[in-house]
Amino acid sequence: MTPGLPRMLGVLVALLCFGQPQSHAAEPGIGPRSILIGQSAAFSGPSGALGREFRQGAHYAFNEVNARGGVHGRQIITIYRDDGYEPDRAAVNTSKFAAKDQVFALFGYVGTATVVSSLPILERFGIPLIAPVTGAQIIRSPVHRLVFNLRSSYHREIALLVDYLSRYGRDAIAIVYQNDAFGKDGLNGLLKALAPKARKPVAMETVQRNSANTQEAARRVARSKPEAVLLVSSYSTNASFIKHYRKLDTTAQIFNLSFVGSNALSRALPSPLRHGIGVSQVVPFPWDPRLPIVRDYQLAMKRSDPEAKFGFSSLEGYMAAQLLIRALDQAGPNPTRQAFMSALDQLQSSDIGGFPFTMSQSNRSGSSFVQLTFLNGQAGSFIH
Amino acid sequence: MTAAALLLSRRLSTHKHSVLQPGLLSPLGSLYIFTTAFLLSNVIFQTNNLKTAVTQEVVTFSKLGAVLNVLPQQQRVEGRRLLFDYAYSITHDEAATMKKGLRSDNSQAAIDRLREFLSSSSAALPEAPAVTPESANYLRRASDFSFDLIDARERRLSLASSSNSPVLWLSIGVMYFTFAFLSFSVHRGASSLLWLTFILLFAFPVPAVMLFLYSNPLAAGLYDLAAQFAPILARNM
Repeated sequence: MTPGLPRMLGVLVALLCFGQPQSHAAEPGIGPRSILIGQSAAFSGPSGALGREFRQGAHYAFNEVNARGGVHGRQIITIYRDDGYEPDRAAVNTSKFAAKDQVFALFGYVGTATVVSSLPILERFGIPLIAPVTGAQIIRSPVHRLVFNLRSSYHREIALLVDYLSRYGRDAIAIVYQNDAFGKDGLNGLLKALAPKARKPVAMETVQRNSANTQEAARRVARSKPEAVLLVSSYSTNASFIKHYRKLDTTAQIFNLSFVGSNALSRALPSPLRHGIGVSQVVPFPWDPRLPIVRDYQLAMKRSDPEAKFGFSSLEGYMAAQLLIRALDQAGPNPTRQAFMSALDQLQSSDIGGFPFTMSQSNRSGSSFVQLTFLNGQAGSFIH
Repeated sequence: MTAAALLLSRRLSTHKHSVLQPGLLSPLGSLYIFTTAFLLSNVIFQTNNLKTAVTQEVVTFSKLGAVLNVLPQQQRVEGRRLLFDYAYSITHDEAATMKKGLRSDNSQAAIDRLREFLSSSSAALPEAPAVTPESANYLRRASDFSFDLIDARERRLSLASSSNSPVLWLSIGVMYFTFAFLSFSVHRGASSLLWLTFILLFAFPVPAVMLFLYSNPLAAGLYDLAAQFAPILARNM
């Protein structure tokens, strides 16, 4: 399926079945029988799995609620635009969502740089952005009035990693970070986490977004003989780095942030290289149904596709969609963006199926949940 | 060996020294058959024992992985990481070295790290753990299972170690040579010589193959160690 096809189908369904979205209501994106939501993310290219897996999880949640009659009788229609994890394309997509599609809200943008490039457009049109897939501080502190985070911050993830590494005697940490807002946020997070221990990274190397050119960074990091390496990039770049780095006969513990795309990273690495690779996660373990949200997610996936594989990104998409659905429900039968945002802020300390988060006007940081996982070489499974 | 037996029987027959009778073949043949049957039963016994030992080891792995669930997140993931490192080293290192009857240094290091973790305060429960059936028995079970892992490994290594005894090989060789020599010495008629040679050549490898299989079921390919561990390594835990 071509990347634009889902978007076109979404728009087509919206126009044919529900008429012009704005024909019966003044609020953008709200039709008599529909609510238009926009998502710009990487659906193709080197980071394409990030958006695809998130979208898959969200789809299960939207399909379920639509099958039950929608939210206050309105079907949730999602329009997707592929930005390839490139900020310029994300900004163009956001402009189209705002001016052309006139969506009610934006949802699940993937990446820090892509979100940052879209913020001015959000501001201009007053469109809320729900559950972006980034843990960057720039949209958390100070609080951005239009951005509602669900996942924990990168700084929390990194603090947990540093704590874990210190606990088990690995103090020499190197960092390889993407040369953009995401990578710099990761670097700041590491410096902040190491500061109380009066330590600094033993090596700091940059890599380009969506690039597999990591040989030189691997060589330089290996020269510094770290005990652990923190990679702050997406799966394709990190997989490339790991391949080059392990060729240099190195044994340092490698860690990735949740944004990496865990399943995609597992698929991108051969069995011996992926064994023991660490990934911090900001959602519960998708294979542990003891938490109600995970159980619901598993059931939704199995009902839609018995062959579907569980994963962290799709669970995050499912949870983000549940948050969106709940806020739409609480915004009432005639939702406005203002009522929708107020509904989100009124959630305060709440939970989605046992997954706690905080949402208020003064605190949009969402969840503080972080956990460590490790990849298993044999089958690419995870332990937590 | 068959050729040597044939040549020797021809030579002794030429010199008219042969006092051998066909009736001698029967007890010797029986002995040969019993030896083959004994080795075959040992092959089956050895392989079954190895399967049982590895199954027990895999069960212990699963139990230990489950028991660690009561630990706080960082301790739990470290414990499971070490546990799965060990399982991974078995499938990727020890499964290969065991074919040569050797243990793997990597697996030894991995189990040592796991033991070190389980014997340290890193594997201890927090001061006020939630009381559950698993947490109530955690300390004893974690300790038991870790020792069970060591036992299981030693048992597996022992069962797969080479029992390739030269004396056994020599015994089979002597028995076969005697049997072949006797058969050639007492056979009548040129046409039966071809059949006899064919039967002897066919019969000879049977106990030898059994002995080879018996000596190490892993090396013989009777048992795939990695495949037994694959299900637990494929689990998301």
